[in-house]
Amino acid sequence: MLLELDSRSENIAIARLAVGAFAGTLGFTLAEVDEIKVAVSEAVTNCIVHAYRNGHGTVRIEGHIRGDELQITVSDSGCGIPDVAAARTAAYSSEPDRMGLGFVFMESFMDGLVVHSTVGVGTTVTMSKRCERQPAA
Amino acid sequence: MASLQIDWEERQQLLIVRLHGEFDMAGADRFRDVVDPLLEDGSVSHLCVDMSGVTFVDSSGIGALLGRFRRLGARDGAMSLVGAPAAVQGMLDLSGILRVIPLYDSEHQAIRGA
Repeated sequence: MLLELDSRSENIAIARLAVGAFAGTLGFTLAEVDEIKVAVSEAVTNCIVHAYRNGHGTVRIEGHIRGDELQITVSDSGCGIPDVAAARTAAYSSEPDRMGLGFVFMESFMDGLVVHSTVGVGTTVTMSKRCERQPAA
Repeated sequence: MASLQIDWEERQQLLIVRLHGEFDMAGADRFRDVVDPLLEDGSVSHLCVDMSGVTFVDSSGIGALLGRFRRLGARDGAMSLVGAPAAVQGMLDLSGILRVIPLYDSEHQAIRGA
């Protein structure tokens, strides 16, 4: 699947809905789909709040199924993250009224998380999750 | 279409806010827009947020709750949460916010417990 959205908070729900439906085809349980939705919500929110700093931009969401694994890539062409290791630390946040738990939730709910970021170019977050069940025939 | 519906009720120093729908970044913005003016004059000493209608929450929603808690705490106010469905409660638990904001089963219990 491929989805490109304007960096608006109203579109986060659309991203969740699309990825949730895509993940459902692989046989994930409803609870697992909910976890995937949280991870996607966090990744897209990061694009809006941090990459584009509430300005205009495009968020690109790709979904792939590789065997029994779901792979979701969320990318932006925003400002980039100067220190990815620090950003992935719990309770790190550059914004007031935020908890800095975005990457923590992504890591908690997905099996794999890879972050590539270049300042001034953008950030790509790739998340993967294995499905233990087979999809319904 | 608003992702989060918000109803509220003021009873003297108590403000009860009832949330219905998805508490993500869009919902958090709306929550702040509704609640912050109600806290503005300083007359509210207890904010009770009924989460029983929340179908989704992420760190943006939880951050908005924590922000209001900090604001109330700065003036010795109290905050409580009510009736989070299991999946929502799991998120609240994972975030650690329940270590500072109590979660009750009912609004009645929250009002008595504050």
